[in-house]
Amino acid sequence: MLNAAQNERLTQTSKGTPMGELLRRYWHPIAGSSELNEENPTKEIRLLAEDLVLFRTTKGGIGLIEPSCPHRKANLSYGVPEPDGIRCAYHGWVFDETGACLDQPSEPAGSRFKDKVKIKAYPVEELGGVVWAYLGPAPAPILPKWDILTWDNVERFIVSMELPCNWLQCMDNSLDPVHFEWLHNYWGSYVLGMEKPAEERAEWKERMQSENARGRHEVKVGFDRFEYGVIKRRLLEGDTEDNQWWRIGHPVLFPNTLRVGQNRNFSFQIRVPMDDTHTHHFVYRVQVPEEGVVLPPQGPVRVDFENVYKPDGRVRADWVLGQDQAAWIIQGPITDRTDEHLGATDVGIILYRKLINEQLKIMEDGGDPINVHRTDKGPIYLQQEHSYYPGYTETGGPFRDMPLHSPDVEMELAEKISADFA
Amino acid sequence: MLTQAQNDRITRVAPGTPMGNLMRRYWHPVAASVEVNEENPTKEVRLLGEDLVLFRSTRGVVGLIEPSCPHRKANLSYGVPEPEGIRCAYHGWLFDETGACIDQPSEPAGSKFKDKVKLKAYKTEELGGLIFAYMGPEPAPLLPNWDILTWTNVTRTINAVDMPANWLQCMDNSLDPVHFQWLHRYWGGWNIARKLPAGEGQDFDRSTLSRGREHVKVGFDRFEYGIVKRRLLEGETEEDQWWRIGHPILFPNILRVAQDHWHSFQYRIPIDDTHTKHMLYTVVVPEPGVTVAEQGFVPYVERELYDEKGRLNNTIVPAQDEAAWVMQGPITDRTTEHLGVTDVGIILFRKMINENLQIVEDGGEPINVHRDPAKNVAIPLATEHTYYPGDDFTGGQFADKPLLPPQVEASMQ
Repeated sequence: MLNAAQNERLTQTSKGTPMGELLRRYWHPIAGSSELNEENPTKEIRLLAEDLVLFRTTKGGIGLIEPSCPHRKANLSYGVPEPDGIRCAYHGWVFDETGACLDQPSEPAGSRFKDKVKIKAYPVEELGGVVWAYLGPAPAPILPKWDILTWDNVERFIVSMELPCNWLQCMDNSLDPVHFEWLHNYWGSYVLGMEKPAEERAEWKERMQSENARGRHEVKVGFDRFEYGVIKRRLLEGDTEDNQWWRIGHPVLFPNTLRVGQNRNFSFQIRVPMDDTHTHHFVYRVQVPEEGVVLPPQGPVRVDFENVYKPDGRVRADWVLGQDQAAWIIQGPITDRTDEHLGATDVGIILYRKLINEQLKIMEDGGDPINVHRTDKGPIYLQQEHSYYPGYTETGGPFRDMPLHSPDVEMELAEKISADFA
Repeated sequence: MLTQAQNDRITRVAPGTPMGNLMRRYWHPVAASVEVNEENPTKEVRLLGEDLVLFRSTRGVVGLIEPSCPHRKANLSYGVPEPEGIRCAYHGWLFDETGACIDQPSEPAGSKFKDKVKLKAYKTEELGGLIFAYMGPEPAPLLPNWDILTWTNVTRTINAVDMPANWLQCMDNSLDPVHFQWLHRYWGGWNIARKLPAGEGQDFDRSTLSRGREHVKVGFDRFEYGIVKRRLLEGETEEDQWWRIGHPILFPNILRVAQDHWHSFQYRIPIDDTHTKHMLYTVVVPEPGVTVAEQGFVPYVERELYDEKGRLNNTIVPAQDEAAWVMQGPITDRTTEHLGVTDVGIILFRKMINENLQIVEDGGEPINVHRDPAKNVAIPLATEHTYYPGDDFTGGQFADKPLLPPQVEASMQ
């Protein structure tokens, strides 16, 4: 349970707020590269409570600028792309990706007026089919080359969703392995079962009452700090500690990214704060082919936009990610953490809040927080249990022989769970 | 005309306000029974300025609890109904209808944590196809068993509409018989005529573009449960049931209105200061000797307040009333109103509200709060020109009510 000031400190996103400034020390994905092209040369962006316009010039350059033309404030997302920038729809002023005004075509010859107007512009980079933006103080850190962003011979796609809730609710969820049994296995089954016609539900109800109907029970959960954030581990009923679920686990990258996957699927779930009460859930998925298979070159990485609501106005929950998103949304626009009751199973959440508060302090003392990259180390591999990395025949890839050790924080859970599913 | 403070005092219903405290002494319908079932086991409701979740367990028990799970604040309207209560979608905490947390399935064995969390919960009862809630201090009074809620061999229907208007505007209307000539006959007739094809509209105009029968006088009496409203119409004597019997307003927010073979309650349920659920509960009594089919459940429909153009619906009588209330504004500005001679009933009702506010503030029990089980049996209410079960005459046990002058009266001539 936090006080109101503590909750605000962790959740605010605007420039000048502690968390808003900490979030500005990181590169954030704002679009798929394929979203900006000749057909759609501009996109309106809201990031960290700032309204911006992303555009691509006809030469292929990319810019992220404040939205309103400084002349008479028309929105530049309606502008015309040109080789060197974007030309305002209203009176033709041209701006480049640094925010400089290059042309004011109707001002008198010899006018220096254009040198006096400049709009806010932020650095952008493209990597792995994603447009990344940096809104923090210069010098900008290096955009980290995470493994899955750089791999060749894989298939990528992006799923993009706008959520009416604060980003930290998503992160709480990623530090809380126990929700899997309830939100996904129990409630998820209920939601899917209720979508069947009433007369076809008997078999489903019976199955829900059987042993293991709520999936395998977690016996304990564990968390370790590491260079880029926190590693999450779980020991499932019937497994030994040598199992990759416990020995390897998978990471939460500070401050707002979950790495998750299994088998040949690898993904990032990036919870990009649009503002205090809205989050762009940017899901980046990579499929690794079977060993020896060479895929044809992919071309542009597809972006699918998913609505989080059903036509009846309730939150969609018929897929795993939809269930997570439903949980975050039904916690309210900003969860009232002054009135929550954290239990033994919430140790990961408490650890993460501690980590955030430490990084806020480091930043306020003038230092670089965790997971800010200043040297190019090339592709950075991240651990992901039970997964086939390119070039490895066993799961776990470069982490497959990671030794067993005790996590920094560990919690034993109830031995058995039950529920009276009706 | 009231001061701002006086208007606030009698209209606002949030917890801790004077009127909020008075309203909390009464049972209020919060939903129709059929609104929570296996298909839709939960409903998000707002009542007296409080957000709540209504649920039905798989054993059929109804609960009304605060909406957010105390663990990580997920909304319980997304929960799974179980035999003993509702289980949160997120981590499976289970709550019963008293708000007690009866399971925290992933907490370590032997943990007492669940005994330390409890949700706000309010009492509910089901009667006549409605779910009633009580949000006031203990001990809760009896849920009144009004006649039409308990009759057998009748046909019931329920409908409701949520309106962006304070509840008291609805009650002002019920204490104001004169609006009938204008709002329903004249304005309603004009609206209906305008919607008809050209030629038919003119014919319709001729028959309806009048104010109907003039009110000669209106009268009001206080009685045990509220106020009885009476009217003398042009061409009738005081012996007529419209004047001699009339029909009641039940304090604080119910109109009983009836005619011929149908009886109804109009519940004006305060959602919050600026929103009201108008629930119409209608009971049709068959001719004597006729047995109607058992209903099984009482059907419920939600009505639309606005038409496809976004204007207030106005072609049926309740919609005309609702349009009037909505167009008086979210909370009518009674600091700039001008009450005339025809508004004596409104003034009487405000006086009654203020008296009962004072009674509550003095620690007493306001009017129309029921505590005696012996008297809480099919409590009869008088309505004029109306057939009661088994009768071939109108007025039921009130048919021979003697003619008495009303306590308050206003002449329209």
